[in-house]
Amino acid sequence: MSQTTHPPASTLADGNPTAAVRHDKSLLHHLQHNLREYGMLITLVAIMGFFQYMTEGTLMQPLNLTNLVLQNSYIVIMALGMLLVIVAGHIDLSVGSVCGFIGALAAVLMVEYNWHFVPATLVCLLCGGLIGAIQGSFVAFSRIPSFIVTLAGMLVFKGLALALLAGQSVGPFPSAFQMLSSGFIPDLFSVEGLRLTSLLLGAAVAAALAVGGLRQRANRLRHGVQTEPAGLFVARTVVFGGLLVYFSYLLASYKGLPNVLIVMALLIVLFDFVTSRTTIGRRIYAMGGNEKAAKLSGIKTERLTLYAFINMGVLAALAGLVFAARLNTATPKAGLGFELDVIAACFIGGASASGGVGKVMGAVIGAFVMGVMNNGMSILGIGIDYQQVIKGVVLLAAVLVDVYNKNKA
Amino acid sequence: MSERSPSLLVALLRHRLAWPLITLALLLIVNTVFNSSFLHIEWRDGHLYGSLIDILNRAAPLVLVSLGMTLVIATRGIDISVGAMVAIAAAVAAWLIGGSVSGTESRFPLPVAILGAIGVALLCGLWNGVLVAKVGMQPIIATLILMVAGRGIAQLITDGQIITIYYTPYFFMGGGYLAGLPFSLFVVAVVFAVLYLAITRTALGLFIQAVGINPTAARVAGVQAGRLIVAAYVFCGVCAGIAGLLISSNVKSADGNNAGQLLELDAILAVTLGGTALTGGRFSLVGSVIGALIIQTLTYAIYSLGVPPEINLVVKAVVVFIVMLLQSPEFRAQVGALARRPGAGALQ
Amino acid sequence: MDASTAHAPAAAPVLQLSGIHKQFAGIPVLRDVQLNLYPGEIHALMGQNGAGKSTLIKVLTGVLEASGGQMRLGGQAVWPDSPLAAQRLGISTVYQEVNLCPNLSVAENIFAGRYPRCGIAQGFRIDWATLHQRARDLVARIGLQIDVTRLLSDYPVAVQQLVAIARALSIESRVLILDEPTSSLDDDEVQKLFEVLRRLRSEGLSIVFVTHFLNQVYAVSDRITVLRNGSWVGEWLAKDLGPQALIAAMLGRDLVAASEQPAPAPAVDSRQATLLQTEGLGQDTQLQPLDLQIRAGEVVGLAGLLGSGRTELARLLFGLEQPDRGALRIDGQVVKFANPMDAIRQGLALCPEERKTDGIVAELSVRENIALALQARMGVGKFLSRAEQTALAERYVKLLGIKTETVDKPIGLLSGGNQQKAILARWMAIEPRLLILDEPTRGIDVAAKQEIMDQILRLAQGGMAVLFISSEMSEVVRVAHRIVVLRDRHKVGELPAGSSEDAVYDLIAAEHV
Repeated sequence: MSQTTHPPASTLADGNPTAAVRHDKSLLHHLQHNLREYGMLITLVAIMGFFQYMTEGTLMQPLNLTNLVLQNSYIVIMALGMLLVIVAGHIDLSVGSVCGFIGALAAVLMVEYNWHFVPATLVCLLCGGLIGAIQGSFVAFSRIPSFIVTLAGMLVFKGLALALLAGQSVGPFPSAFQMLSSGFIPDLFSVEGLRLTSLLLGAAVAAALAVGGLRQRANRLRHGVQTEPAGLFVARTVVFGGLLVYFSYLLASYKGLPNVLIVMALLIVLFDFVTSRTTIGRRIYAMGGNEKAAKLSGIKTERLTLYAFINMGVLAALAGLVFAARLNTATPKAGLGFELDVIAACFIGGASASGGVGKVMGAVIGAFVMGVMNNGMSILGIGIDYQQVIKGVVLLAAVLVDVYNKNKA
Repeated sequence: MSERSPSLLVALLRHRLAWPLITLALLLIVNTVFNSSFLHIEWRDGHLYGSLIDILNRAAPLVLVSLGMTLVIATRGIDISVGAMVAIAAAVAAWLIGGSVSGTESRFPLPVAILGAIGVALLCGLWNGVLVAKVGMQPIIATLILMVAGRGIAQLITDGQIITIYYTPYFFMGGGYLAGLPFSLFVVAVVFAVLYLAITRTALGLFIQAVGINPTAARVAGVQAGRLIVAAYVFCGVCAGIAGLLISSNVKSADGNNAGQLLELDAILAVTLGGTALTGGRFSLVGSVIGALIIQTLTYAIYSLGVPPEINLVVKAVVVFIVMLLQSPEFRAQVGALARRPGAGALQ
Repeated sequence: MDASTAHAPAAAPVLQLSGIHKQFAGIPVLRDVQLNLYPGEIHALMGQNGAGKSTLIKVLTGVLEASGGQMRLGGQAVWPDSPLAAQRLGISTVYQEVNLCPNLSVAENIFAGRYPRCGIAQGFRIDWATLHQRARDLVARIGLQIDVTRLLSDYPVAVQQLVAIARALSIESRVLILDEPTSSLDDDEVQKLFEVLRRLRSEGLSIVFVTHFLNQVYAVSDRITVLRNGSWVGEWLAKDLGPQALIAAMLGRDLVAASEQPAPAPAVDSRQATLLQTEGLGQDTQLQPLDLQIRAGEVVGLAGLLGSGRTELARLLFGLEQPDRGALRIDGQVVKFANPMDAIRQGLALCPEERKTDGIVAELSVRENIALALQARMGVGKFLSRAEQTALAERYVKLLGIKTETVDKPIGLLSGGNQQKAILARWMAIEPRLLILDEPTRGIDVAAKQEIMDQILRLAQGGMAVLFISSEMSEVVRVAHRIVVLRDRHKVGELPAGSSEDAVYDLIAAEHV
């Protein structure tokens, strides 16, 4: 029996909810229905395995893993914002240039004008929000297509970054600022060769996720809502939790969990909460699904679009700061090509180009896929031109899957 | 009941090309104000010479790409990879000609180089068209792929270098003169003529508009939308290829990274300035030509004002943005609402 | 016809429109129109195309602003200036194209924008448990048994409409407007919808019901308001206004003459060559293997309830869908249609059901629309000049009585009936051997229906074969030489010319176990 294509002619008399639950308990059927979600997790594991093999074990070395996280944190941070923009039915091509521009701004403020890093950071984040507000208002109120506005933005901020830096690289940053990107969480229990705090933290998070998942499952079962077969749930939780602990262990073997990872984790939790449990988050999904209907529900769609872009601007600014802190300089070339990584991450993670569909965890997994690819290709010494081409191919594959799914339904 | 027939001025203003022409005229005036010799044309070195001629020559690649972009936009699509295609075409031509410094040697004959470049660009357009029409991807995403991968491809062809071209016959395309006018103008004229004839003397215009306005209804009526859409992207690719030849011929080099930078935005803006809606459907070739001229004249104005190159991008984007805003009905409504006095309600 | 209970307007009207005027660029579209809606009644709004029904509804729901008149809701003068304002006043609308978010769950659709909250200061956090429970209660209230946590897109249109009604209930509307709700529903679903409406009526809700189906008006309405050419004709109790009188009111003249049926055409000579034949043609769950034969000059009616597979068959025959079983033969030869152009080249034509999405190219002119299929068949190279297009269009404008000042007018500006005629003209222009008509008279006023039906008969008499799909059984039995009956995606039988409507329903019903 097909799922969504041709629904039963009349669910009115016999649309029995328990019947639906009974049906979905079939393992194969459930897998088929949620292939996308499991597929992403499998893809991540597969790509990690592939590069682990190709680099002869270098990928998973604690040092490399730490670098991987540090070098690609910008993708995760911006993917969180881009997901909301894509769900709202738009796109933002300017994020790379904004990243570079804010990095340049931070450098000028902190290095040339000697500002303290706290006000400088705040000003930069504010600036990012302002940029998002300007672009967002053109999209929301003047109804100019987002890809035009942000394409223009991409060029404007590229030029402004160049102007701000007067074509040079500016640095180094004050050491306190560098901690953002290159610092690690303090270790409370010292054990030889292992930052125990980090490991314990990782284990704690894994446990919390498992418990949370269990509670959610119990809740759904109580209400008779369709839910995944028990075996699959256990498998997924164990695999995910296991990966988390292993990951923490690897990081703990080097210098522990980086600060930026904590920042990322907090943001992920925040955005997952916002998109699944808050009114503002669900309103964005409604708007992406059917703007007219959303308007009729009293949802202020223009304002929501504006908020999505402001959010994107702030996150792009944060990513720019993280990136600049990592390199310890601001260069005119910063931010080049970031938007592709971020957009690809969202699509790999299951966002739909037409809006209304996409999960935060999916975008995060997609971002990690891009990160692993970046890192793996660098280790293998693949030239940047080839990297561009390969990334294009990966985006192509991700979108093909999206199109295939849409055509199937 | 009889209506007073609208005055001629009002009728003229309602014409689709009115605003683009007015904008162009204003820009020409601005340029003349800042540069008194702007409109001056003289005959020198066996050809016409002057700022206007310069603008026309430099505008040629943009006009070409805008023509291709018009068709794509009319089918409800968009192609942001035109810059990359320009770079690829230039790279292919440069590679086929080779870097021999003699100026008279070419690895392959010139016609082969030209056809090769255009052929590769055609394939790129075909790639885009297939992704959009046969696979069903959204155009912005499909062409985003080539936009990024394409620059990488261009760099691979040129081995990461900027290839300088020394072969003198090659320079004629972008820098030569025929009957006193830049040769590039003739190239543009030929392409425009071909396109115009195709649109008006065949069913192409009708079909493209039908597909852009209502693709489902067009399909039921027997129109082969898939082929049309692919054809539009292929044509866009060919235009980008020819533009690539003109550009690299003008600057005597092929730069995989920088050739065709900004071109996609310029082309999209030219098309919208010329009156074609981004939502597809009805389009205007002449409008796109005027739009391209507007962009070029604007660039010229910015340069002659002495604005540093970094700010150039910003100023241009801002100015064009303002014009687009003025054309946007929503914006006009908002401004109108602000201007209207409160209390002038419609009901008693 | 189920006579509705007499409704003595003892209570004050819940909604009162009076003296409503509306003009578009100086042309009056509504003139002094009134509407009185009482609590606990179902009120049908009737009129042919161009009567002003949809304009009145738009004024009522805040989409358009009236040029004059008064609107009172519960005695208070109100004037909604947007759909949202109308909704806030308590006027909810359920549209034919259900306007909900397919990517959200049923429960979320019901409460979109008005989520029950929990957490700090009842701020941002959505109380999912409460939301789901309330959704379940609402859905149960209208007698629907579905899983409210599943996506809306998992359910058919009939269910989605009921979800839209549930949503209207959740915002405590006082007036519910149903704008042609039954066009995509089969009879079972229509009955279910009416049960729900009756239940709501007994709870005191006032319902405005806009429809073209005469049966349905009498099945469920208490009172009827008729509009004609933008003016108010009258307001009656349903039981006091018989069908003839209703039609007379809508048209302003007696249609008795027109409703006289011409003698059914004699059965087509069976020695005539078979034009089209299907052998076990089917498409996975869309259509079970089906055998069909159509001879030249034959009018074959395809009867069945909505959802029985008629449109699916039409799309398979025309190459819009591909069969995965069986074969299709034209003139005895097996053919495969990969797209409509293949079918057109074999002499087939399809006038589709959905003229807005599959028929008209709104911004193009009437002339371009009419010439489109002919031009598509001629190919890109051979171009019909503007003069040729104009001549072609004007010929059909005259033949079919299409009301338009000029053939250069964008077709989107024509009324529904005239658009339908233009699309019919498009297909007649290619002079097909077999014309498939899918609901050609849906959403069209009675007079235009008449004209189209007459045209179909004339075409058949001229030798064109016609496959005629219609939900109005009376039309089908009137014109068909032979009636093929479908139910639940398969063929249940055939009936000869002159069969009664009852015979068709019996044949369908016989399958009901």
